[in-house]
Amino acid sequence: MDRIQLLDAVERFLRDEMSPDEKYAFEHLRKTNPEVDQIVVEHTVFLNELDKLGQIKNFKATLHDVHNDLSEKGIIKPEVPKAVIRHLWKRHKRVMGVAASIAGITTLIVASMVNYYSRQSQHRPTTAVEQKI
Amino acid sequence: MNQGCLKDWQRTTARAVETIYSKHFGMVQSLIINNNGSSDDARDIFQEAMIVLYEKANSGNFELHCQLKTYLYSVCRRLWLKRLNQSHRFVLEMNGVEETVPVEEDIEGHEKRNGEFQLMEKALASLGEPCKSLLEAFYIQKKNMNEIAGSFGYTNPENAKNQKYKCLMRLRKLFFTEYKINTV
Repeated sequence: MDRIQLLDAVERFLRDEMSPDEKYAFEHLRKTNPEVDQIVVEHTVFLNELDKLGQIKNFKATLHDVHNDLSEKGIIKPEVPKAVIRHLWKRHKRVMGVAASIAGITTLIVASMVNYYSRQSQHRPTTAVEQKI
Repeated sequence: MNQGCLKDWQRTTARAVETIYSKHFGMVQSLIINNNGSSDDARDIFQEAMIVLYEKANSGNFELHCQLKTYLYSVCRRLWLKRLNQSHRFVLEMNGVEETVPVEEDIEGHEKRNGEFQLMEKALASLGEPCKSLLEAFYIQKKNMNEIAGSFGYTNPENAKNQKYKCLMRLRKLFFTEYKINTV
């Protein structure tokens, strides 16, 4: 029996695809030939490893799909750390304070100017042109 | 397990995963975010913890002596601490509000198995094509030889099967070479 035939026999034996006669003959071969028995044991372990790898890969794909599905439905959402907002405020509060003060002062100046010039235009005597109109 | 059984199993597993995910992901995300991590870190850690749980459930002697929430939280906390240490990021004190249980043994077992899987994946990747896809189609996707022969363009399933075994022998050689390099 060549190597490929033997591996095929091992796999059919493990998957229970052998007829009762074939199974009996194979088990007899294992008992009478230690080398064959060793190959059967090694290949069984190797196939188990391959099988477990397959299970884990399939499970990882399921995890990935479930995560995406739940995200799309809004059941899970990314979270922003509260500490980052606090950290940003602490780091920039002086600059923000200065900017707010400048904005406030500018607003007051503009409001005062608007008020002053609007009063000026109320008290100014009308010109001859304006009287004719 | 044939492909029909595999699809049924995947559907049942997806439903269980969805339930656990909706109930417990938020708690883990808060733990990671409040301890120097991001939402992406939270996803990675939670999914790794789910794999630890899955392996424990498949181990044949699955016994949980606490709430599932407590177990998942404990595993995530431990995995995150390890990751922070490895990337030289530290937290002075791990901020968390949930109780924890010892999970070191389960995580060590998971890391050992993960190492073996990575060796197998590396060996598979080294095979090149069509061997890699051929072996994945049969052993991981559980397709039958008729379907594989058709999709890979073999004239009959017997030829596809012979090629599969040639690829398998190459994979065994590559895997055991990598295994010896990594365990010496």
